[in-house]
Amino acid sequence: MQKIKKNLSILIGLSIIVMLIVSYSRPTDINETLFNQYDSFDTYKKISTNPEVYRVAIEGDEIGYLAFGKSYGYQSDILVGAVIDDDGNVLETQILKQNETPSFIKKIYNADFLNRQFIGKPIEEGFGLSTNINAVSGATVSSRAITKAVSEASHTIASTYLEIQLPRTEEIEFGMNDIALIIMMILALLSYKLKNQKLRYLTMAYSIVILGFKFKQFIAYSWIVSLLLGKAPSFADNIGWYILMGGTLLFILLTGKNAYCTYICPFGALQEAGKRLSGFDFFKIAPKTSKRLRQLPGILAYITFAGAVLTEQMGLVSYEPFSLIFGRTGVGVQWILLPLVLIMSLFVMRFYCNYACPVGVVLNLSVKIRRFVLGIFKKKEETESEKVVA
Amino acid sequence: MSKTKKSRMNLQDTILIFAVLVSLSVSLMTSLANL
Repeated sequence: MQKIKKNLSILIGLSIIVMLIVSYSRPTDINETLFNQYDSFDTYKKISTNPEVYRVAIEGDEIGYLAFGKSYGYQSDILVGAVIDDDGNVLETQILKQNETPSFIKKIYNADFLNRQFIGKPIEEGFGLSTNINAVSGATVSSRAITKAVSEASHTIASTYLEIQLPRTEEIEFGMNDIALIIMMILALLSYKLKNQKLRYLTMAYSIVILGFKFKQFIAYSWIVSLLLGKAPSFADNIGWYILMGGTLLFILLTGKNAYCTYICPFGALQEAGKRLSGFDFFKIAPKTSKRLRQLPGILAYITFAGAVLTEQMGLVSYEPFSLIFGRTGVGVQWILLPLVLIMSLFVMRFYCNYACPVGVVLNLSVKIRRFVLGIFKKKEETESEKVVA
Repeated sequence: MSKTKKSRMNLQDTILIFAVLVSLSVSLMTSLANL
């Protein structure tokens, strides 16, 4: 039995590595079939390869340039194409490729963000969320990425073809949510070090109210999958991502403990608070049942991971209910999950964490991998010291 | 006595299994709906 388990783990590990290699070796060229989405021109001619720029025309009349920009949004790179006329005004912008959480991107389209914020604007002013572009409420991170991508495209055209000098400004967005995250990390560290029950409850309350409801900050499974695929936001765009992911991974690396699930995750804290406040303790589960059920979230995480990596559809790995409760956004059938999880968590300690959460699966796996790697080194050291003694 | 206890345990296990299966199926459906 032990042997089967070991072989299965090796097989799963290898399959993950193969899938990642397949994903990394995919070409990332801009596909010309994507151009069909444009209304403002009917013919195009490539005039530069690196960066790719096209001269575009309507019925033979050249009207401007098409260039591209890419920036990381909430969970994926967003590729935007911008058509800019010879006077330096934006004629059209399109999202050509993205893998954002569907509910966020829907908000962008519903608000007509691309048309309302960019079309007709001169590129010489530059584009920025703190200056002339209004972000879509509830989809700020995606809005910022799109704005940055349009800026990149307009820089390409301005400098080479229109002789317009644009100021290259990298806005560093350090906001209240980043301060809140730093405080969260300090609280988690103190809770871990001091093992004080009252402090732990304070940390939990802070996590639910401030991190969850106020700032909607939590690690999504899609972040982890994107990171494995080598994609991450730039530091200037999303400091919060670095505090949360960096802090969590550093904690695991240094202490071997998954502090995120225990102290930081607002959804976990909310469930634990529910169980402690309800005081229901008559729900007893046979250890065997519990142990078997705990295997299931890993299986789901593996299947969706494989699907997302092989089909490049990051939507497959965004199925957690976190943004249902904290951001009140979700898709259709997903809404069933929220009442079910909340009711079950009154009876079963951290129901979702234990029996469904993919983030917990990956973080706990990281803890195991760390232990395994350390174990190898320890064994090596021991055999070496034995050799010395011999 | 022990029989009642055992059957109650089984009921609780069944409820949990049901809830977990529903949660995971809804998660899978959400995942597929995002395609």
